[in-house]
Amino acid sequence: MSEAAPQPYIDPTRIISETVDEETLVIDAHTGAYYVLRGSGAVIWQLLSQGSALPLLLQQVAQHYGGAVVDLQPAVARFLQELQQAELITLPAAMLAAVTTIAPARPLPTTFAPPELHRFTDMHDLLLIDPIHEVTASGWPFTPAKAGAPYDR
Amino acid sequence: MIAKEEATSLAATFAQLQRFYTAAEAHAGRHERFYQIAGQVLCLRFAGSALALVVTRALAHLATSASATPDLTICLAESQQSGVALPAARLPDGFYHDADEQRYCSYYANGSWQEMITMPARVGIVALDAAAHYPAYAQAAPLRNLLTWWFAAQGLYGLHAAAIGTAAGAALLVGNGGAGKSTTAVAALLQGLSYVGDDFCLLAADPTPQVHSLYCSGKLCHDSRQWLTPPASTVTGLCAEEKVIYQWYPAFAPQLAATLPVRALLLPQVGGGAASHLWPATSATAFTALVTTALRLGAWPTRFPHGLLAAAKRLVGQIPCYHLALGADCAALPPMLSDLLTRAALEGAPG
Repeated sequence: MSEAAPQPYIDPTRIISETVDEETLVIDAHTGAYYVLRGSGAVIWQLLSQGSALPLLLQQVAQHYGGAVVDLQPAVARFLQELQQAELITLPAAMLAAVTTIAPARPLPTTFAPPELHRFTDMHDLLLIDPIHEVTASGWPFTPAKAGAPYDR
Repeated sequence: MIAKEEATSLAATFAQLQRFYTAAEAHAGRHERFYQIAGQVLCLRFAGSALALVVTRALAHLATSASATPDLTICLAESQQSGVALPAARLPDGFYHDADEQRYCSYYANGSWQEMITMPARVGIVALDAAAHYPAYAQAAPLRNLLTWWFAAQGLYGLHAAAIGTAAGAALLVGNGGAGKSTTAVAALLQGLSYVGDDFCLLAADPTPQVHSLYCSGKLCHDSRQWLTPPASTVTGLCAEEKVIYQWYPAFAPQLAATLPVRALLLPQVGGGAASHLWPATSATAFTALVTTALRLGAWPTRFPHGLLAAAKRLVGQIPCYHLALGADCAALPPMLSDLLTRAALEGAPG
């Protein structure tokens, strides 16, 4: 029996997103930073949100743009690393290893718009000034249990 | 000795504020005012009269008759007139949220101004040390956080937006401070268009987009006052963030619209040229502006933006969106917006 491929994780208590047309707005509720994903970034984000593991994600992106997995793999890998660095997703170690050992790029199909991640921090200071403190019946402050990824043990 | 959980839970804080209000009312008497906002009846119950003037002025255009069953009751008391000591702040200044009990609480000015709302009970409480300390910006937009929390739970979202309109419907003007929202809204008001708000409105996205008025106040910066001259009767004598605050009711009462269907979304920016002009904006650009400006208002519990995002997405999917470069020709701006709204209504925007 084959082991299930590791999946990316998006923390629903921290990351809020919505896609309009071909752009996705992603908000990090902890830092106040927000991101606009363009090009194929919106498609990749939607697949990540559905929990697609890397092989399936690559297949679906290739299918969407009519390209070959091997051609799209470097751009997708770079984008996943950017998302990971921005703490928008958590990639399991096996998946991270897979995306960091990808072969150099060949020319991309013309139908494929490289994924773009644009970061904006103009809400950051405001959120730091006026955070909402979550309070429970046991009062404030309290330390909530860490919401870890399923594989984060 | 008070246990920690008793001292800092919002249930305990609410009980403490209720005791304060009850004692203040016993000393200063009860005064009630009623307002119709977005189809809901808000009862403001004052202990004494001191707070009523400063809190209700910007809501005057929405006054309605008394109701025995208001949707939300907010009790307001202050210490100076009532002679009842303000409760000691149990928490540092800031915003607090108890998701389980659906309570929100805010402390300002070292606890000398405390606000709280409990959703299931449909009750809010405002407690101040003195009515004179209710700041000018809050007088222009009273109870904004409490109403934002309340209406968000009802599926209506507070927007950092102006809204002006005609019989055809409203244009939402979305942008951060300095983008030209207030200037455009006041220019439109002075030229006879309908006015929903200049800085903060409520959006209902379903079943068709509607914008609801909250405040009949308006603010103008120094530059805008060079070419916009509201009548003297609208000057309040208040200033906030270097802007003069005006009160449009009763002088412009017929033009103050409580609710209008939304026909267009505009993203204003000060252009610097002579002529104002419009050009199409993508739905995605309008969506991002709408959401991020609303979130920048602050005090959004993290679970609410899901509803805001959904409402904003639905809105931009139904109406045309434009960039608006504001030129020096303020007299030409309202007719241009009026034409836009007429066209948008004719072209089948919902409503």
